[in-house]
Amino acid sequence: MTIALVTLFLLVIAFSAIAIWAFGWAARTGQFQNLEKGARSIFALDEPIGQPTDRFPPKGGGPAFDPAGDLTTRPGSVMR
Amino acid sequence: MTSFPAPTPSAQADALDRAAIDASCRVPVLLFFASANFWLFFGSIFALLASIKLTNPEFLTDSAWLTFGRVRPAHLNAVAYGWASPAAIGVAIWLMARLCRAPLRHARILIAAALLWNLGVAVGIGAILAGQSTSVEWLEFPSYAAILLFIGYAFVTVWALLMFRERRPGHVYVSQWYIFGALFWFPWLYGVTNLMLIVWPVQGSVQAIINWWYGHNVLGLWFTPIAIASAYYMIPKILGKPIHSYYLSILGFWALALFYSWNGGHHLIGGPIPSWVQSASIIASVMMLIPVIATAINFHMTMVGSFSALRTSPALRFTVFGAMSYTIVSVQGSSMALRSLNKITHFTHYTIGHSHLGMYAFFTMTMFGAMYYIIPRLVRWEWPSAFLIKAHFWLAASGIAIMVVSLTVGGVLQGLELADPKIPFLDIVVRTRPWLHARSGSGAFLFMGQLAFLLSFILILLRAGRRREGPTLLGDAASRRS
Repeated sequence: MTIALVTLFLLVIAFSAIAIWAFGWAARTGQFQNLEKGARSIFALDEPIGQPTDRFPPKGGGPAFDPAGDLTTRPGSVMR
Repeated sequence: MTSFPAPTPSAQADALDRAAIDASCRVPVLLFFASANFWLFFGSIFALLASIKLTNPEFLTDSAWLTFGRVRPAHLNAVAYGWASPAAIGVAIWLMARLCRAPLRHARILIAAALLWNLGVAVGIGAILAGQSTSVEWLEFPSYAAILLFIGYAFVTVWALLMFRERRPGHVYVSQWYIFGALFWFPWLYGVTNLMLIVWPVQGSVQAIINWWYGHNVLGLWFTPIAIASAYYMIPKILGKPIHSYYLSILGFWALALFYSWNGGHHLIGGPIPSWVQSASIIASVMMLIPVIATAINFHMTMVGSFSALRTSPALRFTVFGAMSYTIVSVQGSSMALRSLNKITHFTHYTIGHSHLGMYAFFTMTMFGAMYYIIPRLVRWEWPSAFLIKAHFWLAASGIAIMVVSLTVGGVLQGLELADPKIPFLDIVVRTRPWLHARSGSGAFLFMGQLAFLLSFILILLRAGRRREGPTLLGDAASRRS
């Protein structure tokens, strides 16, 4: 049982230390600053804000699924 | 082809970068997705068998392998470790590569992880059917199967750390926080619980506390964060609209990290464990409203003004169904921890309805949504049929709705009757039968929906369908300009 307790105790310390370190790292590297920039980080020049990137496949195997051109110019599938 | 403006050089570079990242993920992610679908098929068959056995106990009792006591844990483990975990790992790998803005490297680590994990699941399910279950709920795999899962999972975590080190400079998006949280929490939960229940088993009712510490946290600290990570990427990315409040998303993450791990004790309310453990767990369960409401506000406010997109995007439709279910299942979960409600609903089918609302309506639907988005980008081929996708969605949505409603209503009636000592127990059991028949029927709906998805999945892997005029991939800038 002693081995079990020592193992678990060491694990608790290790995992807690990692969690605290992660929080500190995030604060140090500015992850909690300029949050609006963070929200925009998943967009790119060819998939900018304002451009949807998914839709149902066309019936009967129509033209290529192209998010940049096809989707936004297709009537009825323009998304706000 | 449809005309569109020629991309500027930098936009083209972005598109090529993303196409390279997606291509680099192809083998490991598809390996995890394929195995997930394989186990979902078998896990659902076990589910249907177990469900039918509840109303027709004489069904398939000739073979010990197919008795309820084995088929039911085989279902749980096949869907939790065979379907849900590999699906989550596949989505996490792809999101990590995209959010690190770098092509996936060290794919061999992930392939080894997928092989080890699936070997562990196969050995574990075989052991359960052969009667070697540990009989600890959620941890029925014997230790020789569990160790394979643990090593396979450790490989995934190591890969994620390597990937993170090799990321391109830029912000760490909130989805990555959730993924790292999940990749960090699961080995901790799985390792410690196996040590304390299987390797060096603790004694007495402490076993139950540890069992439910794991049983609940595996939902909230492993499956939930991955599904939320996916939704935080998919919803804004599909709509082309940043998340409503990035601040709330970060708050939601740290609040989940703080409160969730205390929740497990609410499975033991009224049980022979210290009452402070129960009370602390009830308080933490109610505190979960903070991250849940933060997340719900965020998803809803991002969707406002864009609900029409649910008609046009399959990935969004599944993801938003999942996100809405997350709010419902979490608020329901908090309420179920209250002693007054728990007194009635505990040990009834109500709890089973709640767990399927969480694991299917929330988690599984979110994973389907992610797969609908990810797979065409990996295979560079469009989904073969919009009809199959719509059939999948409506069968899944109506199936899970019928299941949750029937188990919830049936469970409350069952709980109220169980609280009345004048009603004979067997009468109550017999009166649950119509609700259980409805559950079997709804399960058949879910199964048919999954078959539609499986067919789509196989067809897209085979690149079936009429040859398109142009490639169907996304982000291939060169072909887009033709």
